Amino acid sequence: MSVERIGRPAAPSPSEFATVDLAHWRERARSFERELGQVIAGQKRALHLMTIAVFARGHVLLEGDVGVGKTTLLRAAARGMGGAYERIEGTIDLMPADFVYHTYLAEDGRPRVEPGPVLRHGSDLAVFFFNEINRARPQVHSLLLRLMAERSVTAFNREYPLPHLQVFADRNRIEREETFELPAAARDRFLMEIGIEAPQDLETRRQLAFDSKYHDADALVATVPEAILDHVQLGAVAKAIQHSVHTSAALERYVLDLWQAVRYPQTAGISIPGVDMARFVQGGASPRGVSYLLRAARVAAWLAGRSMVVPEDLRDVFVETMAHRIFLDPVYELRRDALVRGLCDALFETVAAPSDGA
Amino acid sequence: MILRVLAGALFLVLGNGVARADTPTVHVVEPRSVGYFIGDVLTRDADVAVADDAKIDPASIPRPGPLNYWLELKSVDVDEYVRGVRKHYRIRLAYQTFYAPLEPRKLEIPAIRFRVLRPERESTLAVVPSWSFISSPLREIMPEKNGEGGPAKLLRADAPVSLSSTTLERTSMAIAGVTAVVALLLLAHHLALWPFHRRRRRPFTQAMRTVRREAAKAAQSANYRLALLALHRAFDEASQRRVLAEDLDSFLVARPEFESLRPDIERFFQTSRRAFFADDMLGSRAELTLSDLATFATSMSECERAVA
Repeated sequence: MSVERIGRPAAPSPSEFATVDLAHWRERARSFERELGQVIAGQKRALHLMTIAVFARGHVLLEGDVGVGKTTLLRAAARGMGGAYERIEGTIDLMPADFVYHTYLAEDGRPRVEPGPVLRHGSDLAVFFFNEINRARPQVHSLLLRLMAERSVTAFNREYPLPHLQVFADRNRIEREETFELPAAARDRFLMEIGIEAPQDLETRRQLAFDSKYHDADALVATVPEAILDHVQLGAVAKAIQHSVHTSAALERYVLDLWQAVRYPQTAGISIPGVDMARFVQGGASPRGVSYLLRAARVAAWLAGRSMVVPEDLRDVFVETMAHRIFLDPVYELRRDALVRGLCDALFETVAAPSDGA
Repeated sequence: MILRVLAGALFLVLGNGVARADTPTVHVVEPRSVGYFIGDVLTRDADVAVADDAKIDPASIPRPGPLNYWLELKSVDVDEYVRGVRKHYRIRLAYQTFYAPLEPRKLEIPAIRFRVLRPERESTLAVVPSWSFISSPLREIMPEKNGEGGPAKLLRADAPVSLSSTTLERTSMAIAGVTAVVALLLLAHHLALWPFHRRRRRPFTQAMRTVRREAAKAAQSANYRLALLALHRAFDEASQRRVLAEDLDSFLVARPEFESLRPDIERFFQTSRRAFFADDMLGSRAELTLSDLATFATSMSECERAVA
């Protein structure tokens, strides 16, 4: 069996970065964020993080209550990014084959197999939205793992590259029945886990309830200008950003200190009330996680118009990029959200920036 | 005739009665008249009866005190009561004798004159007469002729001195002392007095010293870096958390005393950013020199001291 590799673009050479007009792209990124803000009310931070994820080419897991606008947000983002968009609903009987193949009985009565949702648009697929990811079985998760890590999928005896693919997944955190918790490996491959909460601000709440603009999601999404960003170029832009934004030795030291402190909080002098710090963090904060953190921080710095990463950028994206990679002692797992957030806050209150060390 | 005699007798009785009612009478109950020694107290009770509208002039009542070199009037108690048509004063006079006679001797307590006042009449006197008693010597002065004895015979031996134990008192005093010291320490701790008083920390003053020390050395990037770090740590300590450039607003809300230095603080953070995170130490040294940093640290320290 031979697997044919087709159409994978070569990595851009450093000279290619010079052709990317980053200042212009920054304006486009800001207008993307602004346009989404017109559609999604009261989710300023989520939109900012989403923009960072888009320019870091990272996959995003959205988590939140039912009906807070996760799907609308993703649809609007997909429209703004341009390119093809596919979505699939996670169900307990969903199988990996349902992703790649569409099987049906044709008019002549013979079974047919055609490309499924992932393959339908070929390499043009820009956004793949997996709704209610935790309802799908682990074998589906493992296919998704490949899709996210390698941006390719094997079907019909050949490998289909999906170079522009960005996976958005959505997890309903209210229901626990008939759901499968995402394996750590799958969670680790998401750049960010963004929590979407209903807006607390009264005026925004009033708008959401009474402004007829927000009642029809389809019409609302249609107001977003199509292809504010160009999904084909995003990869090159992302590389140029990573290349152009500087990280100094002091920042490297700071990241290493943070990493050490998140893994061994007790040695960094962090304590959380009611928690045995010696056994609190069991693992996680993988090297991939830290590299993702820096990727996101570079984009955040770029969006803020800076050519260097500063500790504030790390703090800005830390919870969303790192919290889901920290594995706790099972005793603390039920109180995870509050405890991990407390740990992250304590980290930035404790680790010195810039560090005194050489 | 009989009537005249009767009338005369009645007049006499009544007249006498009137006369008795007008004239103060003194009746003294004396103590025994013998058997006194030096230091003994004698009590004389005088009952002075006067007319019901009369009274004893308080000024004529003697005041306690020495009467002569051997006699002292210790106390004078005066009680007043009415019996029949007369008013009575019961006066208790306590004398103490200090006379040391060599042989039994008769001593005399002088008389006392009370002046009795009556409205619209002349004052009269009620006299407690003088009174004598015999005081005896305390001991025999002359030793026995046969030469026996001696002073030991003359004097009764003193009672042996008994040393009472003071252990309880000393223990109680020690316990009370320790309790007092502990209580004072607790009070000092509660009121944060010395030695529990800790002066409010002055991180910027400390940083100022470091920055000045570094500024005094030769201008090098290493010194500059240390000076910046010292100031960063001062900010961290002042707000009990790590302060980044973007935390300036919340820092100034917590420590409004530095608000006047906002432009300087902003400049410091910008320069530090450039030095540490843009790897442009030379550029930042040109923008904000070590002596500028020292000036900045000094003004931060002054603000800090102004509040504390």
